[in-house]
Amino acid sequence: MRILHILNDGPREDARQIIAAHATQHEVEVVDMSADNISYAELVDKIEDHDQVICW
Amino acid sequence: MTFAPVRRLSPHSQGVQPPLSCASFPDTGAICGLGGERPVFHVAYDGNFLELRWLLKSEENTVKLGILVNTDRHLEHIVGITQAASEKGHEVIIFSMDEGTHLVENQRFTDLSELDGVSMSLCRHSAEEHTIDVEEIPEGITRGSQFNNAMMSHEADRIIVL
Repeated sequence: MRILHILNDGPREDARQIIAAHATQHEVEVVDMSADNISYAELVDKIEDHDQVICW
Repeated sequence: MTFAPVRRLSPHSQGVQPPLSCASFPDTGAICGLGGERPVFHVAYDGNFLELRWLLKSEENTVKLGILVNTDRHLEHIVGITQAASEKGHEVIIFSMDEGTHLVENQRFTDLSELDGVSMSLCRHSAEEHTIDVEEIPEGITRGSQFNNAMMSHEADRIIVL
């Protein structure tokens, strides 16, 4: 399963632990929304392409 | 060759272009009509009826994206994602509740309701709890309840929370 984690307010410890656990069994990608120059078009594609999307 | 009766045929009025070619899938017995590279109808045979079903827009290469807005901290992201999704032909459903209802006081947020494929609603109770004057909310935004949130959860292919 492909899981997209979206960090609304940047990295946080509880998210890091869950993401690490997911990564042992799934394909995981992380998007840090606190970063500069976010490509919203690419983000929409990622939301569409992943099986699950989790927002933190 | 004999053909089974067609059970259902939806018209082109759903905005689907006539197929240019067909592709068959031997593993499943399914046949798919293609408009360019995009499937536009499916054919299925259950032993009695041949069913020809035109794909609705939501079944094409588009998604219904739900955005649950429960804070007022991410306006830039909401605007950026909604505009990008609308430009790609996706449907966007936005539901605001709790602190997120404050965003209806910002025209950049309310203007999103005018984009193609975008529908917006909010929890009226939440808005009143946050002293929002619900009578000032633009007509294009539904003053609803958590039922609208439930509908979004039911209808959307993906939901993000901002």
